[in-house]
Amino acid sequence: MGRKDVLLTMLVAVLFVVSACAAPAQPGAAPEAAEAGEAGGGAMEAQPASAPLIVAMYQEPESLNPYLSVQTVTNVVATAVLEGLLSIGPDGEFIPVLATEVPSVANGGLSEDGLTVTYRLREGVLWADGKPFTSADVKFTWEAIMDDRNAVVSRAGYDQIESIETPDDYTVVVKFRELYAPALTLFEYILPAHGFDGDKDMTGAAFNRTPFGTGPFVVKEWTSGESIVLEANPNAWRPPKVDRLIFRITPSREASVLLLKSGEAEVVWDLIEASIPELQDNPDIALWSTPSSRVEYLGLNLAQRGDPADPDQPHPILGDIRVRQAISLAIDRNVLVDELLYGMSTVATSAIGMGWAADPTIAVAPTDPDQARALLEEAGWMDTDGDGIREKDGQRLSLEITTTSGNKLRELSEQVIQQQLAEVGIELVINNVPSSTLFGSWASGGVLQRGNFDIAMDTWGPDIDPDGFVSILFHSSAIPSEAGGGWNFFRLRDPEIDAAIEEARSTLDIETRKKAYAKLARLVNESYAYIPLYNRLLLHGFKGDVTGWTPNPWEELTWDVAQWEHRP
Amino acid sequence: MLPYMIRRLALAVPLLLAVSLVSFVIMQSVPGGPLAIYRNNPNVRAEDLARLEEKLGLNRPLPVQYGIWLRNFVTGDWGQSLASGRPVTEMIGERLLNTFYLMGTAFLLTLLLAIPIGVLSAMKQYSLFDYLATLFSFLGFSVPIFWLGLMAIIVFAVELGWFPAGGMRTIGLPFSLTDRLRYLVLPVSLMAFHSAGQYSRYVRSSMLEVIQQDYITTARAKGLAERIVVLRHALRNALIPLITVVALDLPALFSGTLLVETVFAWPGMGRLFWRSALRFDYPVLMGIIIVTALLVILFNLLADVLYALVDPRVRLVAKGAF
Repeated sequence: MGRKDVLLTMLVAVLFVVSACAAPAQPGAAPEAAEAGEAGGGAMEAQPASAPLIVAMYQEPESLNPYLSVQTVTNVVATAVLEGLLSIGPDGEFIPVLATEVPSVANGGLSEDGLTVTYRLREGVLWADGKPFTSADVKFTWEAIMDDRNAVVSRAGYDQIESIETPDDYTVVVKFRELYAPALTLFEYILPAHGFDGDKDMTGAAFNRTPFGTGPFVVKEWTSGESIVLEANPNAWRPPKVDRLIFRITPSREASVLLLKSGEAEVVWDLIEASIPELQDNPDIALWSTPSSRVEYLGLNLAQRGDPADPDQPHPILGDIRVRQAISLAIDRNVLVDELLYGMSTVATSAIGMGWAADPTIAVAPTDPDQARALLEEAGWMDTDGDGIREKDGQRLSLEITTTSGNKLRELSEQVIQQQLAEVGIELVINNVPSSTLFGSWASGGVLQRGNFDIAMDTWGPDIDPDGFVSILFHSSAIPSEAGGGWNFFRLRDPEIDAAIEEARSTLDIETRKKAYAKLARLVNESYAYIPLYNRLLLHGFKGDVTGWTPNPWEELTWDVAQWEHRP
Repeated sequence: MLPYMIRRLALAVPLLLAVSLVSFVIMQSVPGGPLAIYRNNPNVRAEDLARLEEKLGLNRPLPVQYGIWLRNFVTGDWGQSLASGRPVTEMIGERLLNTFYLMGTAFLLTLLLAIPIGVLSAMKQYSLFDYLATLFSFLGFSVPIFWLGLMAIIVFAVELGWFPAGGMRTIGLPFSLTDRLRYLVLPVSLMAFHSAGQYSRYVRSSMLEVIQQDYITTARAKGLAERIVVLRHALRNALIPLITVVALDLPALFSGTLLVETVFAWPGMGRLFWRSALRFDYPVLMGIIIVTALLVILFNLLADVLYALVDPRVRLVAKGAF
């Protein structure tokens, strides 16, 4: 009997500990979570007046100083805190933010030679700590970016500035050394000159973790790996409608979606197309979605594949433009959009499909299997052995397609394209590799850099100013080599394309630039080295009772965060 | 025993050095590097990359980089993260606490479950309880914890709404014990389920062995109460092998568990390590590896010392094999 007592006592002790963990939690937890739509979990009880808005994101910023990090998540948070001189609206046009108007030749903001940009600043704007925002802050931002003590990731454009003059508190005159076509895209975030102890050295500054700005929110607390808590900026000129905004850092997209479903988060940043069916039919969830300028495309290798490829040796199959055009004709892009993207995106027309630089008259590439077959026959590819795949001089018309492994949407797209090409007699062999292998550097044997592929499937797209994108992707100087180069992994060498790129960056005049980009987009399409498929979706999830948001393909999710609120 | 401990601790120094050197070499030989994420960004040009390389000291020869790291490390400067620029000690420090808090609770619950279950199983060998305990332990051990974790979240957080789906606390609330406990329930019960089975098997088999010893028969023959026999005579000796197992598992209290932290969004060391590895954040990785190596060495020593303390048959001498 005795031993039973002891063991029972021990068991009771164990049960006690277990229940000590569980018991106090359940009564409090169950009713709260049952009304999960109310949001915020326990926080509701403590401060009923100020339900925070919770955004789940599966990446954590490295820094909240947008010049020390180029991650998207950094900008997602920074956009709620800091403001720029201009931003870009949903239609791709500049909107003045801390500037009062968009500089143009007409309003005197742009000099005729394009070397001087003058901004008029909004008056009466205060930093969150009450100090006035002035032209000195803009100048400070530039000086901090150029200060060698700071590990600023990209100085592109800022290093073209010769000087910044501040004739008065609300005028900034930016003088460029030479013409910099994307000039207006600079100064996306203005830093407070007094935010770094009067120094331009940003290294290790508290500001990088708890920034304040002129935007709707201020960062209150950042708990690594867990959350970033923001509070309303009391001095905001565009005050937010909620008192607190919380970014919850989760380990994965899936975890974020679970938080949205369990009511512990109300916004999920960055969903992928594959999650559409799961969320589309949920009446509690609304999808923030818009086609973006990022295009899913096929990149065809014009050089004979090798490790590394020699750009002077044409690809034995793809070196013939008729074969490349036949591939484009054989693909029915609507199947991809309708079946794989649930009709939510659009078929891509060219590398520059959206924004002011896009030419809306460029049509979707035609689908015509018969013409594809005719072209292949004209090029000498015949099916002589009757196996459905064409041959020429003993060589099979067999190509390898590669993309990043583990991406469901891409795998399905490949299978669709594989089938469509088979119908015209082209064999497509799928061989996907990890993204680090596909995009690896020349030195590490990257597949695209070295040219060790036939056809690659990838996503890329221009910023609102396409210069950087087209220069790194299509200019002949960007053909990868041991010495460097860029991402012209097609090994596309076309003097006309080079000329169009250079012309577009030679002026700030928008009409001239538009024409040059339209020409460029057509030339790239006609090269059939770059075959556009569809526009990738930008996709975020919202709880149904959060209102005030508008999709904008050019800015971060939080671009209009001041308007977000819980439906009353 | 003291000379033995001093000797062991002195030997730890070259061991840590070797660990740091090997880790450094392996890390640096992985293709990619901390600047790889910028390579297909049109705004980060070759001149930007060259400037960053210089600024972060990545263009120095590897032996020099290691030498600088070692010199700074010895003087207590563990360096700054290449990604965030924050001091490595600060980054590790904040995660250590979170990890200890999760793992410690799980560990405690594991032992509180495993020991009674193991003892009961042994005392009632081949009983229904024994079979159930066996089933329970094999289930816990063999079902992948990430799958079980996701299922638990779907059932208890998404469907029933009893517990939060992840995280450590309700963000923005002042500290509250009940709130913290709510967030602990799911991950801790799962981890306990996972490892209690394993531990209870150790307890059971070691208990079975001890219970057949002559001195137990003697104790019973003396007429001692069964619970005294079990608790004072049998259990004490049966737990000796468990000490080694437990002590060797203890470093995990601080190094964390990537799977559970990932499933339950716990801001612990495992995730910090994983993230730093993907980002090629060498200083952070080095810091975590050294801390973990040090803990392994210390807890190994602790296991030996404890062993000697509870088992009078074991004597530690300075000449003992290392």
